[in-house]
Amino acid sequence: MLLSLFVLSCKKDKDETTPEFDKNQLLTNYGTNLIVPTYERLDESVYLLEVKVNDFISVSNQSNLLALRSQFLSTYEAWQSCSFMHFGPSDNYTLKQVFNTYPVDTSLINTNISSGTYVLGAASNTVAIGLPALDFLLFPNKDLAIALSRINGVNSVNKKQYIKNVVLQLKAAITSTLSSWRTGHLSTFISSNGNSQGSSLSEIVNAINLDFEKFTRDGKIGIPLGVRSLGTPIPSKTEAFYSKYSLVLFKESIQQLKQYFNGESSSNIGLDDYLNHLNDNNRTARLSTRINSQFDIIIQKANLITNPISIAVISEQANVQKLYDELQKIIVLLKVDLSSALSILITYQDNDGD
Amino acid sequence: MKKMIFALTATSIMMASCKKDEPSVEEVPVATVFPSTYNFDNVSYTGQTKRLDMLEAMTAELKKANAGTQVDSSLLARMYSNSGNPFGDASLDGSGKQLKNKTYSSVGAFNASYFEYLMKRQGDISQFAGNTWSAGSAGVATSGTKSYFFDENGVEYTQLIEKGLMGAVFYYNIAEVYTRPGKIGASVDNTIVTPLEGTDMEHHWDEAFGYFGAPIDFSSSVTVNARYHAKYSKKGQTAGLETTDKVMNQFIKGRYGITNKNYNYRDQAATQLRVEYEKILVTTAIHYLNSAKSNFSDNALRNHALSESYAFIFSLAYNSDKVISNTDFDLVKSYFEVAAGPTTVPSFLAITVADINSAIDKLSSVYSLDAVKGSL
Repeated sequence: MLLSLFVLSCKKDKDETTPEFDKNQLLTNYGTNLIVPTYERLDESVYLLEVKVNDFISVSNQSNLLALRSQFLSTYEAWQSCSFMHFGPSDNYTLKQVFNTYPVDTSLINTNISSGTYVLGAASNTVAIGLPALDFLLFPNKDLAIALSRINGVNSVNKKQYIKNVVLQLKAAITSTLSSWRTGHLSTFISSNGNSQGSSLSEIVNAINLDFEKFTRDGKIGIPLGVRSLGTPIPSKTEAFYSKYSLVLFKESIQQLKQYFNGESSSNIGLDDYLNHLNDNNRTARLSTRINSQFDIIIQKANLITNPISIAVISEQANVQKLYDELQKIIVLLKVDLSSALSILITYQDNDGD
Repeated sequence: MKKMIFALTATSIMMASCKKDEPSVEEVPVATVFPSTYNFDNVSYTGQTKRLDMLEAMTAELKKANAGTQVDSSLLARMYSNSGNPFGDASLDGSGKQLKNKTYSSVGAFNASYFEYLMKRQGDISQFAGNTWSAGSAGVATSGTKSYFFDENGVEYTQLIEKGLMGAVFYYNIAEVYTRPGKIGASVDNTIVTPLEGTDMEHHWDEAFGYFGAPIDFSSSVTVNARYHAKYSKKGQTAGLETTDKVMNQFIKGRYGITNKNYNYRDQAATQLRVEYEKILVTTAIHYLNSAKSNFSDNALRNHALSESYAFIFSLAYNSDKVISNTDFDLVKSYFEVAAGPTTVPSFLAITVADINSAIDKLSSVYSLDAVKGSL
């Protein structure tokens, strides 16, 4: 194994003692043990969601609504790690846009439901689909009995069909993504083992950064907190606004990202090992250690918050602000230090200027 | 320092290899070393530079709609034909040059009349530039710091006009006029040197270069001051296709061939230039389609990217030697269009990710870009 790597390599320095980091093993771990299983979990979860929707449509009672809601929330949790794996087939089927574009346009959803004619995949419907649409439709009220009577009220047949169609769209997107990984992309991913633009390592690092900056820091925390609106909080722009599940999803997403960074699996070879291999001992703490500690600090700050984020941005604003500040700090570590240590160019900023 | 070496032996293979320490047995045979920049005697393309500047001024006027201001369509029309001192800049107003009479104007959907229609309509509908865009109503859509004015179908006329004229004027003149026998063939004089302009044939080739939008020392490593297609050549360049360098090298080779009366070089360069230049359009189109996908749920960014890619795609038509067949061209275009009476108009309301993927896949397979389509 090692031998073949050396043959491929151009390096000539025979007296160099440090062995090359085995990026093949790293990518094999990410592809085989982390990414594909994550999509498999989501696929399984969406399958169960469809089952629960069918149950609820055939018998629209409280216990079936409860089961459907609970499956919905576990699918939303399963989604979190897919968010930062958004490249390759996932990008191709726009998994992120299909699954988690929020806030939804509730009047557009209602118009679609009452007309009964719509193409969920059309550009005009991107804010009327996905888990956020289900969040809106399944949680018209926190109280189960009231929610049930709303769902069973006006336009109930169209409404249930809409719920089902949204789930079917999710199913189609994850099925296609997973099947693409299984039928060829996994080997492409593992063999693309350079660090130039388009290489698998570059895709991993760019996807983590883009997702963290735009969808975690801004989407989950910053925008509801008001950092884009002169400090005026916008609670309605919170993830899972209607189910009030935002804080759980946020913590889940950080924990899953930490595991992903460390490549946690049976083989355990992650970005942390690659960083350690590159010997950045010129600082008091290794970069991998600093990143892991910062993940822990973020979780600690999130644990200080007691309400859903949509409420906390008003009632516990100082705590949410502290959390936001810690998110800013890890972006420096991930976007500047990590990418430069691994010689990865951050490419997602389109700097056309027009 | 970058040189293009044309050698017909194993030397090129040796260059690709990592080995450096073995002494070469063979010497490099006779090889032409082309200049590394477009630095020749008597290069002149001021007329092209004026037109590039004019398009810049028009684009600035068009973009007023993005900031909520109505666009003056009669001013746009006068800028297009350079009549009545429209630019407020004597070097342009008094130049005697204009974009309109250099625009492709024959049969087909995307000719000079089409652009005049777009300018008129931009002026008319930008009365709604104070509104927020929504599907079915013209207005401005915003994402972060970026704002774009779209028509009711999500189409950004600014891009159709700017990128479209880059196709209908710049690309059309390069691909169909200045690299063809009528301008560089046997009947064109290549002996009498006009001071500062060279021979007729040299001057025609320089005019083609002028439309590219590149400084004379432009390369993948020197990109400052590049604009228009030169700037967009970076998409293919960074994806590993070396588009920037290949286009630049063909311009240099052709001028070198003309100046040294080596007409093989000239003819090879003319053909190859069109091939490489076409890649600028198609790689940029795919780049924006990827961007539309990545930003699919963002009205501002999605519609902007689709408008850009639509204009780069229809620009492929301005080269009679285009690689894509008319059938495939119509197919790709159809993903962006809806029927409107006897004709079609661009509309991005009903487009799906599957449509965008179909367009990308068709383009990448026609242009053999499957390996890089995801990195563009």
